[in-house]
Amino acid sequence: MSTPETLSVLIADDEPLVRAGLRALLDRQPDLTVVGEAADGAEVLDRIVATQPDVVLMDVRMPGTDGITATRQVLATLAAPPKILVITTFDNDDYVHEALLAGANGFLLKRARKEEIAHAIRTVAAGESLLFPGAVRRLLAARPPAPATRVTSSLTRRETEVLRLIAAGLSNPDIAAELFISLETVKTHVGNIFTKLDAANRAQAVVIAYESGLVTPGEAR
Amino acid sequence: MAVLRSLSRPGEYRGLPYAVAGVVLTVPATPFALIVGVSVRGTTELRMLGFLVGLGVAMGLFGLLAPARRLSVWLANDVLGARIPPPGPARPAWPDRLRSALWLVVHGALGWLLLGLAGMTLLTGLAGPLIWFSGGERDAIAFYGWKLNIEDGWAGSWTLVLGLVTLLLVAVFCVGGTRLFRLLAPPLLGPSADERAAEAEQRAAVLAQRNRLARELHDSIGHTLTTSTIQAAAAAELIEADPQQARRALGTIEESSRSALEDLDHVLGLLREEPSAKAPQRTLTEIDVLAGRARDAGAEVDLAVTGPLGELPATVSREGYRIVQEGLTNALRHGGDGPVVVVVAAAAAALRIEVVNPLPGTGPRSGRRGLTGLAERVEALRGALHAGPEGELWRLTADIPLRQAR
Repeated sequence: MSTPETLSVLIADDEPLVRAGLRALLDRQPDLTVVGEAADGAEVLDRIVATQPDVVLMDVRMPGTDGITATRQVLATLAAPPKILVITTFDNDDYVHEALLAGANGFLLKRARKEEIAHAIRTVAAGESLLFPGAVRRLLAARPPAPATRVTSSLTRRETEVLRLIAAGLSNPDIAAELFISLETVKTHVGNIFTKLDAANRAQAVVIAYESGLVTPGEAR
Repeated sequence: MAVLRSLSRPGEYRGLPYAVAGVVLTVPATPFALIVGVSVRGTTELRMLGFLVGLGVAMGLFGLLAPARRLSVWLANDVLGARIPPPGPARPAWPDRLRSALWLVVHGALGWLLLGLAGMTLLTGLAGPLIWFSGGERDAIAFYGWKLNIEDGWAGSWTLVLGLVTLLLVAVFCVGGTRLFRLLAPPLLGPSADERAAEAEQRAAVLAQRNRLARELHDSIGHTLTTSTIQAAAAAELIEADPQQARRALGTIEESSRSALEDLDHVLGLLREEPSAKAPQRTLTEIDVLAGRARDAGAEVDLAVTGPLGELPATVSREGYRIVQEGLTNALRHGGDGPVVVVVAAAAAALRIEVVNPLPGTGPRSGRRGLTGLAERVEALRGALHAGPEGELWRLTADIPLRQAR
């Protein structure tokens, strides 16, 4: 377990050099501490139970159990799952998209600078806003548009508006300021959106919103 | 209305210059046709028929020539505005040549027909007003015993109407001719089913190759460079606090960079193999040029060629060229001092290629990725490729059986 000031991180990647490198980088950050490593998606669940991390850095492509399957397992099994941050070699990866749909909280390029990696971990751990909204938009813009599905039609106009602002990367207080409504109201809207879209977090809701054509990738700011 | 609209479109008149081209194309055939026509005994009609048949036969014979198809397609696309895919670099097969021959006959015949009809109609139409302007004439128009007077003054003004109607008729002929040409050209000049299949195969091969390249790049180089990046960041972070671990990180960067280069070598090899429709494929008949180029690059090349290289099947000959090329390249790049011996022996049953060069005194003697691709393709021709050191020499040999390879 981590102290309130530090965030604990579990690294899941099949490549020992990547794990060692990330560990060396993250351990040097005063507020981050690496509490464990997993070399295969199949180990992730056990390692989480053993180390109780706040955030899991999850490689999408691993031999054996990949990051998508591992993400699904974690979210389905644990009552209070850690935040899952997918790490990937390239951002135009179909696996990343699937991982986000499966409920991962965000994604990050492995080649990102150490400040970016640390920022991503903090943002995902806080859970208040979508990580790298621009990158998510690019990822989804590169995909063929899916036909509109019924789920999004059940959103109210206000909820749709809130969802667009989530996709643009705004946190709940930012949304409240933007729409001149109270933070409580925003939280209610966000809760309703998650329920209606059957989404576990902002990233998943945004992916579903883009997929269903509710928000077009060019539209978000 | 649709007819009128099409009459106003300039593109619909491209059949006219195309018809002229067809007529011009028949000119070289006329001497032959004249000989046939003159040598026919009998009535004038029979002689005319002989002339026409002779013209058709001569045009057909022209059409059988290999370049006829390319020329016809070019004419049809550029002059007529048809959209026919140009034929590939291969020599046309006989069924395709027959189609081109038939097209040349059709082109010439329709060309004459359209020009003749349009010309005669135009002359008739213009003659009326001209006669009227110059004061009229009795029996001005005689048509199979049917005669018509053109009077002076207002009574003869109907010739103007006739003139306009015939102009319209000429326009209709031109547009109709264009349509007819465009209708008939694609089946006779377009790619055959075989050609379409070959092209699709080529496209699929290129696509598969690209996907393979993308996968290779993604899996190998992207992966290794990512590891290097992370390790470099870690090394920078640790250099003071933990120099030993920083040194280890630098070591792994060296290693992964090296393996990335090896992967790159491999991927570039794939890229060079990429099937290309445009680049001319060299064959063994140009082996002298190849040896000359290697000599220019500083190699001492002993070339010994036996057997009729020109009679080898094209696929074998192309592969042979690549084998010699790869052998010479490797000899230049990795070989030691001394002559490169190239033997190319084409016998009835098999083609044998040997490239032998001295090994360098020191340095690496392995890892020539280019050979892997060659070996695969030689195997596809049911042959065998071997390469390896032999004492102080490096020997590359390839044997490709000939009858089965056809």
